[in-house]
Amino acid sequence: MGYEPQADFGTPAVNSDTQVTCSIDGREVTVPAGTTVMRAAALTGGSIPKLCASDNLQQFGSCRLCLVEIDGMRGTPASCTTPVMPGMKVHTQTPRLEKLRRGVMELYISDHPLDCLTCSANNDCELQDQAAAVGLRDVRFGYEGENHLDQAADTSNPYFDFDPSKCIVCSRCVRACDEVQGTFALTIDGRGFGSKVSAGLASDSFLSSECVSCGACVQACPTATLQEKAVKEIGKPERSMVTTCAYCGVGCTFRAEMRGEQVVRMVPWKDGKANRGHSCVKGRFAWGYAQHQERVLSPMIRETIDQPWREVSWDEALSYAAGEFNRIRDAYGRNALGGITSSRCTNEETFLVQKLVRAGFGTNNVDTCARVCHSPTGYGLKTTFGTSAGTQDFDSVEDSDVVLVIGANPTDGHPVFASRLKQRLRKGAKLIVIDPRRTDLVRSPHIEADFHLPLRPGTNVAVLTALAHVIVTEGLADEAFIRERCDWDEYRHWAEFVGQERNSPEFLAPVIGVDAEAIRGAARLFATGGNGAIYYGLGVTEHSQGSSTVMAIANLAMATGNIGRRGVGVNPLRGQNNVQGACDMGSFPHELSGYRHVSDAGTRALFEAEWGVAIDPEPGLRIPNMLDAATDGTFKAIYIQGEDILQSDPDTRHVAAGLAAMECVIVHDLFLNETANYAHVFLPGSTFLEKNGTFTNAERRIQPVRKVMEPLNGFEDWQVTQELARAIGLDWNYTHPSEIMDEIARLTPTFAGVNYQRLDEEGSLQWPVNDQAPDGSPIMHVDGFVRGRGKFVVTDYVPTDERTGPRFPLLLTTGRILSQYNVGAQTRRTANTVWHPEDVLEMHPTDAENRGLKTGEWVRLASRSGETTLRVLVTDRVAPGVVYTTFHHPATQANVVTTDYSDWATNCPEYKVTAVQITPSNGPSDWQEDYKAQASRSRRIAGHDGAMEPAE
Amino acid sequence: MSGQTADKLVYMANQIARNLAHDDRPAASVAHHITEFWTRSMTDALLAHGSADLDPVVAEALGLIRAKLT
Repeated sequence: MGYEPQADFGTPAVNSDTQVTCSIDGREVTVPAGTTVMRAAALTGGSIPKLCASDNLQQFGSCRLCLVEIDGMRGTPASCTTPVMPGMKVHTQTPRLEKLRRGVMELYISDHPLDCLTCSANNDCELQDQAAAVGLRDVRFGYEGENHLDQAADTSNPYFDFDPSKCIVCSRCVRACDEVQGTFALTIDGRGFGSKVSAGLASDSFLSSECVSCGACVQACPTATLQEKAVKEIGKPERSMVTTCAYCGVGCTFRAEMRGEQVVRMVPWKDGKANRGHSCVKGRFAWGYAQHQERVLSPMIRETIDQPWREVSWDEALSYAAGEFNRIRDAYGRNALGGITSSRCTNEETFLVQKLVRAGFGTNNVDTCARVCHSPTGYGLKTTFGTSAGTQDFDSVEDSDVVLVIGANPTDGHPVFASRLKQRLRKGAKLIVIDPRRTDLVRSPHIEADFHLPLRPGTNVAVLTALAHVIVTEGLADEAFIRERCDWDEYRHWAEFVGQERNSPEFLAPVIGVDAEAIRGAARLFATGGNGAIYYGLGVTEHSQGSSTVMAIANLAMATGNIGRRGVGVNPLRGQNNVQGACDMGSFPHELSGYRHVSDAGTRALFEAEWGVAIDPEPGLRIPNMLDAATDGTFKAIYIQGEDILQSDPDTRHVAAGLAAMECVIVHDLFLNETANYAHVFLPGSTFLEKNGTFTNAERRIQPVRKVMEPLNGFEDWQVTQELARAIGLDWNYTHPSEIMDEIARLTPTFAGVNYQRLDEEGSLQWPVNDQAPDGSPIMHVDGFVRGRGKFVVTDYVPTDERTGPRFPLLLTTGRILSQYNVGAQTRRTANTVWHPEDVLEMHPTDAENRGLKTGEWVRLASRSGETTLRVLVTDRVAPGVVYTTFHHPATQANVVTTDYSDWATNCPEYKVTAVQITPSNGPSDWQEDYKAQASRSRRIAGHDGAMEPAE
Repeated sequence: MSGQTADKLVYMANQIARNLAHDDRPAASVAHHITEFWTRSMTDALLAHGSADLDPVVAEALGLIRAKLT
């Protein structure tokens, strides 16, 4: 479509069972009771002038431009604050109103620069539009009076400018920061004529303030006061297309607003059901990596990894790769081959990669990056509920009364959902946070957790069992729900177990490190506070008992009857945009799409008939098993699409040894990532802006990804995989990803009703979409669990073998922050580095003092696996005995330190618990120096002397 | 199969047994888990390893697996 802003109905939609009919300028309209006159007028196609109103903000009534006349009512009420009443007759365009509106507009324009023709918001400015709408022809007050035109612009934010000379003080930005984002970073400073939008204190700039750069204020601004720098630099967009963000599992949809082949800005789509018109700094602004100079656009090969890369044609690269894979299969057997699908790629692309491995390589040695994040969710929820999926949609949180957040930091990891959650909390929902760190949710403006249980890392199962103990022994379990929906005998077995004294808060408090009474209080609140919803993240899964913790969460939800309706449920917050989708698509080595085990002959027969090959009935290797097999000499070749296992996976030395032992490593990616240091074939990848497909977010919502520009490398990723398949002899002839989705739907019962036409028409669909749920499934397990009866599983607390001791007395836990994303391959190549140029180590003041450390000093972080160096930040956000860092920067390589311990059921790494020692340091470790040199050598490209890819 | 990898498989199997200790039939559960999620080559390697360092439940589970395979 051509460029036009999204329609703005002035005030938010209202939900009401009562309908009200009124007349607006003679047009009869029926709307839900409570709807404003302004919105009702807009719904009938009318347009009442407005400046301070926007339909994602509560009505404010300050600009006095939206005045109307209503029969029988005195004066000229503001339409944005006047609800429609039955039989009301409204007049929106009268001579009296025109005069009033012009007068108001004259005042605004008398203190506004008259630079419309050269303004970057020209023809995209609500003030300009409304001046035209009210028929402003002159300004009787003149322009010579006192004004704000000389105020200096604040250009400190890397993505947008604040120019107060153009501000009309409508407060939309302040309200957006409060109501939509929930950060409360902005305020109106001063009074009367001196009123001014201010970020934080008077001494603050936008950059130094608490602003999180979500862009809500920029989106809300009706003038050029808050505007994207890109609009100033590139110009106004000329077309737009709706697509889905490629960062976290929230799955925000955006209008990619384009000028030619160039993205001007990404504007959150108000009709997006995951984000409801909101965004975070990554999705909104950090897309510049797509055009980054370090993107590799030519295929490259080399026989050995000590050689420089050699740029070749696509044909030569694919032919070489296929030749190597065929040679290795002939020499070592099909199980010497494997592949890794990417949670950053589309459903269609991941489906093709696992199909290539199964149908082309002839093995089930396929895995995905969910191995290192949410594989325990797959195991735990399938065991207890019957399928690997969160139970709710994001809207569900609006009906929650008690929210339990465990092992998740949504304000950093899933910021747009966090804003929704904070909106609900500010309306009165109770909050329990279980996390070793005092995350922002624990205490932030107008939000304070009712209980924060700062447990010792590694004791999730203990604390959940203690909560269950209180619920069972104090008679708080919902036995009616359990009898109706779950296996009663299994419940009794579980209740008997959790009821034992050794599982009481008092007994476990010394292990957990949290006061027993706080655990009891949290349990009572969750069991008796109304609708209870549990949200969790990788702080649950990335432990040696990750799967047990997921099952303990499911037990808790079932025991309290919190499954199967809005406001409740078990909600895994997925790390990457398409973790859910990659898992759905059969990326795990033991199951085909739709979570059906490869040993099931009936399921295999479906695929065998469609693909014309035999499917191996034995499970394949998981990623860590592949690396072990490689060092053993039995696994020789791997195709890795869109994942940097050398940086993201634990125990970097072991990963490097595994990769180095392989004879052919194909990396299919945007950049020469760390894994590519050990690669023999590099196939350039395409960004989410350059491809068609679908992503599935954490609420099982399948959403379209649309190509807004041609791929710089020439091909979408599914096309590259198809060409590789053809090169090894498969007869694949897909012409569009929609054909791949049709195949997925044919083979996967939960996707049976999904196709591109429906996605285009309906915007998104939440699986299962089939005969039983033709319109999709916002909430799961409504009438019964997928597996029949819910299964209670005894989850005994088994302490991790990773123990502190004299050599390594502290516990390291890792995570990510708002501005950076996982290994940072994308965000490090954007201006987001201004907020996080390096990984730092958070340490409690007591521990720092014991070691004589101050903020900013270099420290050596050592475990039994390895050591690295980084700067320390002394903060009481972490408890004594616990240190924390992120893994966004390869220069730090935090995973040099993490160990090979993993979840008992899935081998998901135990990233969250590593025993470490911290000592002062004066610079990079030997390993870091060696790594830097090796990475630099491995990135040499023949013919690019002096212009080699820089070491990251 | 290197000694290092065999040690890892033993560790993994023992870890599974510790976490399934409360099942009705722990050995059957361990056997089912290994069959469900391990490659045949990993299972074979553990079977070949013998009973050294194995949790008794794992040893019993391997007996069940061996019986099923023969």
